[in-house]
Amino acid sequence: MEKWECTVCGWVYDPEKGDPSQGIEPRTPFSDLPDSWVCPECGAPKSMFEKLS
Amino acid sequence: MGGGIAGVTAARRLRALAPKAEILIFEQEPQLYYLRPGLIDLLAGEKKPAELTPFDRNWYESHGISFRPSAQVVELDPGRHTLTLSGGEKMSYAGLILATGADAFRPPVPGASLPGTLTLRSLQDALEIRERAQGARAALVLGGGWLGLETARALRAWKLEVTVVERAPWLLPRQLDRAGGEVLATQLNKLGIEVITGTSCQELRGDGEVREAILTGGRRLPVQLVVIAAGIRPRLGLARQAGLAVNRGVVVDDWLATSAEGVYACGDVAEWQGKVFGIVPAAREQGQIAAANVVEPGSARYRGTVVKNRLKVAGVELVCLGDTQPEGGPGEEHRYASPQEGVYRKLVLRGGKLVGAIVMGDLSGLGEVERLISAGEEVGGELKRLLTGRLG
Repeated sequence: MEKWECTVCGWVYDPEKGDPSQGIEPRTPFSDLPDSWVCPECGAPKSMFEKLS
Repeated sequence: MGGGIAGVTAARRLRALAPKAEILIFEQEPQLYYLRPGLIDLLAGEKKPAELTPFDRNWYESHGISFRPSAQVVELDPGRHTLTLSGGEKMSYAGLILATGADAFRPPVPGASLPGTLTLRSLQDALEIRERAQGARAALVLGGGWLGLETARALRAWKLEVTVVERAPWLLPRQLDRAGGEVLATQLNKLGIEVITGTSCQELRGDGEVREAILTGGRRLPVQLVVIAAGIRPRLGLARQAGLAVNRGVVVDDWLATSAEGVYACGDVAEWQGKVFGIVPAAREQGQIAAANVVEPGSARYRGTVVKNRLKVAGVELVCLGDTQPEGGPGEEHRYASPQEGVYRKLVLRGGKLVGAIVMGDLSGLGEVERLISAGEEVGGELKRLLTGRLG
């Protein structure tokens, strides 16, 4: 699954791990994250993420 | 040179622009690149080092980037395009990017070298402070800037009594104004953090370990841990040795070129138009621009970064954007405050355009405030709504 990077702080969303701090289960693709989800590191919105090459 | 956010961003951009180039990163710390702002969460016991490390060894290998931790470059010869490592190894380069970052500043307070007096800059520092916090009852944080306040919050997570001492008359004196600083201090008090402003630490005392802080005015605080958060100083040793032009940082032009041909600088070590930004978004932007200019000189121009700081203290929402005029200035200032709710908002306009904002307590409408500052559009009739957020 694709990893996505926060363009504000550099944190990387790894779908294998999800984001337990916001109740996101492991193996959740980035596209399935709710719009209310934010970067757990810096609080940037989902729209600030870019697909990692 | 330097495996922090500026250096790693530059290396990744180089890889994209020059698929065949050999790319090496020399980093003095023993770890791979990690997210420095996340050290606060590590200190608070909320994250593990692996969670702050976006790329593992395999990632660097598969991207053809050789990351060398614990590497100390001791000599740089820009005339010959060579550098020497502490072990004696010498190599030549086609292009070089200085991204060596900054050290924590230690003000010359008597007793500041006593064990138990630490700064927070590296992953090792965060682990050491965390370790010390386990055996401490009371901690003193010297400096009421962003890092000092976040450190105070992290130490509160370990149930320590925490006092923050700031020399200026209010907290975050470079971004907040007095009224905002007072609202913030009240909010921090509610989290159990004592705030003392307009005061500095005269001396630290202890028998083998730090045990007491003497403040100006004579107050004495019993402490077992002191964290100094008094700002950063760019690491200039190598730049000086190499004869590069330096001021507060390594001086760079709009292409992030230093005074030496083929050498660029970015991130916390670089000084552009008199400014050392010291924030992640600037390090990222500069890293990308420096890389582009190494591959093709003159191809990318840096135009500055809108300063944005967000306080990472659970329970206190605070964002400062652009030019906030902490002590007044040419811009027109508009304020909205509801101190009982911890709400404070200040907008700074110049020529009808929004140039800076303090948004505290209620972040509604922040996205629009941010967009207007970046776009440079006139604000017009939206002002009142922007000022009061959803409360209006």
